[in-house]
Amino acid sequence: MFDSLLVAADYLTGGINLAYLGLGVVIGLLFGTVPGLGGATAIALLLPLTFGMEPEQAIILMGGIMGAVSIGGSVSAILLNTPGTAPNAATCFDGYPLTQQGKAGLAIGAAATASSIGGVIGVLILVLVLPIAKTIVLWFGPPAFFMMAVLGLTSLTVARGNMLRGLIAACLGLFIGFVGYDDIGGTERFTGGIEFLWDGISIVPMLIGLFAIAEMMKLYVSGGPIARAGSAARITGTRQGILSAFKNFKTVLSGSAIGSIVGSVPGVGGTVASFLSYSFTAQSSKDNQNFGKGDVRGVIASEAANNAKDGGALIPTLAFGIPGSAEMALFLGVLVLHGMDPGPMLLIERESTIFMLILALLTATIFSGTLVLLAARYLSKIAHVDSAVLIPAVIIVSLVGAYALHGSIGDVFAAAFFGLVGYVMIRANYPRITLIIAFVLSGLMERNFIQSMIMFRGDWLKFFGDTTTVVLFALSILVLLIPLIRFVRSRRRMA
Amino acid sequence: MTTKTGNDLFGLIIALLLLSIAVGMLATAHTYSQSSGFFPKFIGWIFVMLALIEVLRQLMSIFATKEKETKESGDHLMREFTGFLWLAALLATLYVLGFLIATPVFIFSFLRISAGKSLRECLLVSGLGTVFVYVIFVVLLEYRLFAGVLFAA
Repeated sequence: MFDSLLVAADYLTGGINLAYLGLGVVIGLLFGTVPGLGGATAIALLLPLTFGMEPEQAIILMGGIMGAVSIGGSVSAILLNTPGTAPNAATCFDGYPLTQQGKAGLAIGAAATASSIGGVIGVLILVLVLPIAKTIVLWFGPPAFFMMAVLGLTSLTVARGNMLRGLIAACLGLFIGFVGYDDIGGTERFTGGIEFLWDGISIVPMLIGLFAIAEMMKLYVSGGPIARAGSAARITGTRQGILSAFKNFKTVLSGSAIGSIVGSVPGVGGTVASFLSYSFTAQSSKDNQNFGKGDVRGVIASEAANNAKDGGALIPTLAFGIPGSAEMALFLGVLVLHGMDPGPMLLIERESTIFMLILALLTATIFSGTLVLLAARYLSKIAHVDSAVLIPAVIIVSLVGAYALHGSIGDVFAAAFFGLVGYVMIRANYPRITLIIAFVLSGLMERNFIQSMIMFRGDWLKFFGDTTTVVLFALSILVLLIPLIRFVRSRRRMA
Repeated sequence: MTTKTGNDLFGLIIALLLLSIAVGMLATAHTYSQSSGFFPKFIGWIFVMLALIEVLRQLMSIFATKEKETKESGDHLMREFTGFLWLAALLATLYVLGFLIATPVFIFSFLRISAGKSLRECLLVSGLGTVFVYVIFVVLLEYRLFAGVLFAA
């Protein structure tokens, strides 16, 4: 393990690699600051640009983006009362009141420091958990892997709110994953005789369409400026902000722990983590009357959790190949494009690559925190970028990126088609993330399902002959029952 | 703003569309061999059941709605329509003329017609956009961008 760490550190600091990390951080900060863009759009747009890179360089670039996005989002949340990314929404509660009181620097300093420390703690938890996960993964046979994927999908659907629509989106994602040549049965499936579909639907145009194009379409339809016109706040007192994060280190620690744990549950994500951490801090603090009016602990709690969630979210992504968020699904896409097979073998065979990602995340978190402290005022101006300029620019780059994958004009049309699908899903309130994660998991699920059925000679009941499988199945059922339990509780309360 | 009935109707249309996809998927899966069709059939049945529940839920929601305002906001629908019209126009231009011509044409027309920007601004942004695409994709990454059916021949 230590050797792999040294190899990773050596690679990260060598040649052009550190520049890729810096580029990732800058892109992550920019995409995080502009409301509506976020990490998923950044990775989707950048993904085709990584084709010419070495796999490790692509991972470093993506690590830079992932480590910086949430910190960037805190700047617009504090200065403009417009969260850059959804998880930064909790930061607005106290961040913006602090700006109104002329304490923007205090809030920015506290957010950047808490975010950086939270990110580091999240990554450290990942480093501690990965060796254990590696051992656990080796116990898993095909039935347990199948059930693990089922658990991932069910928890994702429940966490995203509308369970029925989440499950439908999951089925649709699995169906899209079936399109193309079936390796097991040797049949062309669901291609409708269209030659373009023989190799299946490529993940890159799908991601570009569902996230980048659909978001731009949403921005076009909603119209108006991206960020509300905020005051040009003077940013002073960042030093006090940095110190306040250390003074409230208990809050940083609890926020980071909440972020890591919540982040590791597929689908729950940063928004729940930061809100949970915020409400935990507000409730557990003795003098909590200033929360919501400009208490710096509110900013610290939400930002520490928000950045710590990335380390947690990488646990199921790397260990089981089950992504927990849209960013992680896109990151899996990067791994697949560069010839890596996400899942247990990745942990065993490419330990140094995993450490490279961990180090990239760690460095990006600290680097982006420092950059925010230095350039917050300028970053906030980016949030005012004219949507009329942004929309055609992002759509053009998206379509060129979709084409670049295979040099196929069919991929351009596929990206536009998924842009339409993504927009309809936003409009009809179907979760896109569930669709994409189900699509990513379809191969893994089918392969393990078929292998299990061969092992069991077609006897379904043998799925319940193994303790791990039974536990995972029971957890899936329990997760599906959560909305019912909530409903019964609320009815009782009303009665 | 869309009215409740308008949203329910849209939800019903989407649910019916999904139900038809699910039924189509299940029917097609039955034509495959045992090994190729096994898992799609398994998922297909679940998909059909869930889509059916959603259709029923949407129908119940429409019947339960008391105020029957069927007129959806014209502005919103119009913007959605023009948004996809822009995308379709871009795809058509791209297919015929290729990326390096479609990029400035699309950015310029979008900024001029949709956003009402000044001629100078339109020229500047479309020029910069094209240079960006050319430098990043053609010069640095050495991709051969699609030249369009008109010029490819």
